[in-house]
Amino acid sequence: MTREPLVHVVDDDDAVRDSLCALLEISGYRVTGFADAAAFRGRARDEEPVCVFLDVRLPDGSGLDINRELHAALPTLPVIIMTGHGDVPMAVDAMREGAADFIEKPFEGGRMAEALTRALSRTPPVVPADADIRARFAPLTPRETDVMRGMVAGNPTKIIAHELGLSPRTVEIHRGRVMKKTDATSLSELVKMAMQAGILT
Amino acid sequence: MSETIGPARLVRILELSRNEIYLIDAATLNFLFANNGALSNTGYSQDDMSRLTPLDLKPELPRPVWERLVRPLIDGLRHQTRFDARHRRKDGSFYDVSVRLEYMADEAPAVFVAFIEDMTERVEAETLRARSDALLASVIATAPDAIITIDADARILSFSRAAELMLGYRTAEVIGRNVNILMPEPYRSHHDGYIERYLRTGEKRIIGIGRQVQAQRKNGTVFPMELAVGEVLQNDTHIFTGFIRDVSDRVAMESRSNALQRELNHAARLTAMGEMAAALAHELNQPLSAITNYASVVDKLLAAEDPDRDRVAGFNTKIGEQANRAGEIIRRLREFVRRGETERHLENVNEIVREAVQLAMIGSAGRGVRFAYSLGNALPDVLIDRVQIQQVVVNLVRNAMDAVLEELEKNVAVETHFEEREAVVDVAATFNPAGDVHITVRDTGPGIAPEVLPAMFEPFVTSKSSGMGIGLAVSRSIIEAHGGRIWAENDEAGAAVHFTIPTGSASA
Repeated sequence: MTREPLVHVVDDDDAVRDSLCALLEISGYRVTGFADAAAFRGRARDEEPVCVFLDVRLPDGSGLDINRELHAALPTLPVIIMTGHGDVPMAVDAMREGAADFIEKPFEGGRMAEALTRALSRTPPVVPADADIRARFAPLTPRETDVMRGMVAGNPTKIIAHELGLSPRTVEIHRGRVMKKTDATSLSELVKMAMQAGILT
Repeated sequence: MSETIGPARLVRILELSRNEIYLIDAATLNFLFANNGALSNTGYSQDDMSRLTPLDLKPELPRPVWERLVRPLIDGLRHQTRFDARHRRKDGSFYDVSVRLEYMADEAPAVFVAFIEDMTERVEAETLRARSDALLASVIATAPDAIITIDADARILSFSRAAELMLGYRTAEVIGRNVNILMPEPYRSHHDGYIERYLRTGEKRIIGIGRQVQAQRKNGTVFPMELAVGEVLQNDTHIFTGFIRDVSDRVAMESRSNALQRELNHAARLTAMGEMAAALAHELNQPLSAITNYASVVDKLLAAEDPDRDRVAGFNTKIGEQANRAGEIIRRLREFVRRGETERHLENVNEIVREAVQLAMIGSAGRGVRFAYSLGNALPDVLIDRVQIQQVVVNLVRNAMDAVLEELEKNVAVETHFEEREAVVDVAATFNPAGDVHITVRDTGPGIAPEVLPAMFEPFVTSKSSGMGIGLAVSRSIIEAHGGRIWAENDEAGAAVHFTIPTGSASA
């Protein structure tokens, strides 16, 4: 018999962990849930998972540390970072340190499955050449580029607006144009493209 | 009698008397005789006197008046006439006298006999009394406090000008009426009873104490006044004097200041809320994420040809639980922010502290702060405003969490215990012993800077880069309003903030 692929879920919130495990199980995966970094470190090597869902905030230590350790030990293991409100800069840091993707809580319907599917396909679905990627950022106006830099730094609209001296409403409009012009489907994809294009290092 | 005292002695007695006695020639008005009392009071010699008349001694008395005074005597219509006058001494000074004048014409020459009483002392006493009456009247008339006197039957004896202005009655309208017309119900009906009880028992409830009571103007409006009552016992009659001060302005100011305090408390809660908003969003994300996940699971289960109804029901229950959890977070916060009157109930401090700590901990996951409770057993309930005390605890715990953020040891401890006061033996004490419930929030942070420590409960003193510095000031005003005390200290581990709430604290 074929064993279903194993996915690890590390989240200290019982309900989030339980619900994510249930969703992954019904989607055809075997799942092990861990409530904190210590439990995960103790068991992580028992069997190599195909993917790890990792909460960026954990009670006994930062999820960023675990991400770094995992990436060092298993560079090809896709780690999907889960973030709450205001944690996007941490998620961007995690992306720089090798995380495959990040999703924001509460998950939009289908976003979790999409992230998993993409992470599991050995080759990312869209891997345009760096030149093509850079070309996507070319049409951005200087103002849109400013907004885009704020976005990929993980800053919320209000912070970007404050830093650029714009109204939040204006920033929202620029954000929409940035997503449209770069053809990014999510913030995490924009972050990845920015990294690939050398805009975000 | 006349046999024992001879005529010579009689003359000597008249001569030596301290009263002034004169014999006046009725025709010429010259003094025929002036005794020692007369000479010493006026300062004239016998020789001086022989050249003077009564009109010289009484220069303010015109001769026609003198003649009118003596006429009835000469005509035999009266035996004696009395009048007041002023004598001029030899040195020119005056003194008041009361004069009794008789006319004797039994042998020639006809004479007037004058008996003079020196009135100086009596007049002085009367002047003094008149002056003090005038003074009292002017004090009563100009005192800003209304002054009302009543007798033991509560009848109004006097009613000052200020009382007229304050209460809208004219003095003439109220004299003799029961003072209870100046009070609203239920005092109006009870007031006679208060006086009756005082006269019977001597137990003073307001006399010499004073208190704030309600008064009613003629037009029916009621206002708060401060009443002080004094009592005078005059010839076995009680007279009560009431001093009344209109304190409407002060009461209005107090209520404005209370309203301001409530606003400030509310503002402080909103500030705390602002700080918590991000944390709240994070906290709400958890149940919302779970709900989304469970809903996706249910979708998938229902997509099967023969859905497993039990599993669907199970996940559906979990969705409900998470929705309740989200609702609970919102409810706790809304209660915390709720505007409103302060409402005190007997509460268990431990329960309130636990809830408040949970509230303060919102969004603290991932910050690595370790919480420890050390809650005392069998704490007596205390009369407190739950929301306000929670506000204090939330504030202290959040400060403690901020303090340990950069530390290796991120420990915050919340402790409660009861300190019994030396209690007077009292039946009630067995149910609710006198003492203080003592709450401490400890942290293993860097401690409080010595320069901040003395002023940290003053408004707008803050060691934080963000924040207005009103949290601790509001905390102090809340604790003091509960009759307790709040203070901070540094210990070996870090900082500790203590506050107490006395049992049976009922001060508003």
